[in-house]
Amino acid sequence: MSGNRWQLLAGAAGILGLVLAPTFLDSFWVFFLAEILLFILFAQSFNLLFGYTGLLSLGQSVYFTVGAYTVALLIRQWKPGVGLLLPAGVLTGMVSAALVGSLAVRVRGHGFIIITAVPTVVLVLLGQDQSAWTGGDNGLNIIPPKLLGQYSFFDPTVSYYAVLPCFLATMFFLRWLLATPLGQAFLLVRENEARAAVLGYDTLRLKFVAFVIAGGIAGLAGALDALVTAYVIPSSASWTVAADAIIWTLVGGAGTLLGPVVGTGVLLFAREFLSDIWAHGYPLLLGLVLIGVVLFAPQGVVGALRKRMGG
Amino acid sequence: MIGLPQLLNGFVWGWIVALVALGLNLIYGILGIINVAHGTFYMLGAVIALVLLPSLGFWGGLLAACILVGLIGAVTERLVLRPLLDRPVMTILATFGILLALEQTVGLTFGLSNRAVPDPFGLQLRLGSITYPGYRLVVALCAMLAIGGLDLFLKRTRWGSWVRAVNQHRELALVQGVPVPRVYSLTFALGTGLAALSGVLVAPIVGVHYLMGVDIVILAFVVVIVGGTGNLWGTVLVAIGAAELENLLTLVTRPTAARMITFLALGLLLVIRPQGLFGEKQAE
Repeated sequence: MSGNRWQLLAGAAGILGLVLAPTFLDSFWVFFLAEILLFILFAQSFNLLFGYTGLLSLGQSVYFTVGAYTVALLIRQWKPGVGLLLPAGVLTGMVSAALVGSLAVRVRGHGFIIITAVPTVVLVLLGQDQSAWTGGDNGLNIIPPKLLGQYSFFDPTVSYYAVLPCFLATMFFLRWLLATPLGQAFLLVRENEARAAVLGYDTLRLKFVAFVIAGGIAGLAGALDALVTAYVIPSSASWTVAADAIIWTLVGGAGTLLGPVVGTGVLLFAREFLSDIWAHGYPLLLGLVLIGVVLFAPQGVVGALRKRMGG
Repeated sequence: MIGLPQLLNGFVWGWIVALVALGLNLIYGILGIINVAHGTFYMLGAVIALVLLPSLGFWGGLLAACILVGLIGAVTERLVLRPLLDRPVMTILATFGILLALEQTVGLTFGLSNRAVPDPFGLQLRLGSITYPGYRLVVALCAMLAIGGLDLFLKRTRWGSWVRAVNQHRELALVQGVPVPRVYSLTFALGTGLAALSGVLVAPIVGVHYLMGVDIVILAFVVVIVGGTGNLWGTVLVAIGAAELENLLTLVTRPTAARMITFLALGLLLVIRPQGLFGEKQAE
């Protein structure tokens, strides 16, 4: 009981800290925090698939990039408001995930990994090929619309307060989703797909639904990234970007909502600090950290802590 | 003849892809390791060969690179990957760590720019109305010999039969007296050595760059899965088919579009036949 109360208290303190953060951080760190929050969403998209449904997708970068380009291209054509851009990013993320997912969920094991990976290559190449639209290898600078008609995204505090509600809403949505019968059925598929099928669950449909929701979350993260950085580039669809989400999730701890938060936060902070000292230090160190995590804390940081506390 | 250079390029590139994919296939089939760092060993081979080329010559550098990378592979397998047996997802994370560590080490010591490697023979063949670099045909020939050698090794030698035995049933092989741990090391060394060989062979064609392995690894994975895991000649056929398709498509469309269509075609094949073109349907 008291454990639950502490959790609630910690959660409330965390949210309060996030809401107040811009009052005590300078603009560089506010911008950085906004990026961390949207990348946590990107990691959660992978976490929902792998951590909760047991589906190893190597292609979440595709839906991230689709969301980002939806925002960029809509701004270029019609200059709609943020209230339309973000839902559009979620929607196109979901539609593209439905397209790939309807084929991928039928295939098990390594076939699934490869079918989710193929679109990463195709999308990067498509972006390079259609450079008049996409900016090709140079990417595309965009001018985000003003939030509520007056606040510019070039102000980090505005960016931050645009990202924060999306972040909180998605976290609460995931918490709610995973407690519903649907969310519980995802866990069943992860634990034992054959048994789920015997119990009468339509496992193909369950996997498809998880894939589409995850696509929507990745699309939202991509749309936010486009607005916050005012920049989109086709190479963000690359499998190495998808691997980032995998790393952040697994280092933090897959199958927990807190895991991607911790993993993404810690690793992005490490990157920021190291890049000031030594530009190549981060990837080198990250490589060694990954090997260490795999060997000594295969459940991730959050998983290892839980084990230690006997929880 | 129109299209002859493309046809030849597809043929040469196909054998290279096959060589990379076979190493990957071997490692995945025997060890269950999804070796994301496979392209990194390919890059490492090219870099080592470039460093050793002036003192050892082309063939000496090629041989030394394969052996060195194989040794690095064996050590990596023993230290990092052996504890991860039967946990394929963890191997993705671990090999991605290896990829980052090796790539950055090379980037730091060797430099970040693309280095050209001179054509070791400088031979130009006259084929009707076109000239074609003779070296490329040597590349295809080397790859063919290596793949044929691998096939013979697996089928005709004691170590080869051990590798196949471990592939079929690890525990049974162990009780029969097969030195399973050594077979693991050998397999990883062999797989990474093959990747290094491909890296050295393509270096005079495309140059050497510390990120050269990032793109080929996905193509190789797709080829392995479409060809059917554990199927040597299936992998070779799919590799050559894909390379020919891409190169011939460049006759009618842009190179990026050609590659895109090739990947889409491979993905579609996988959707139609999830067990691979030449794979056997696995029991559920």
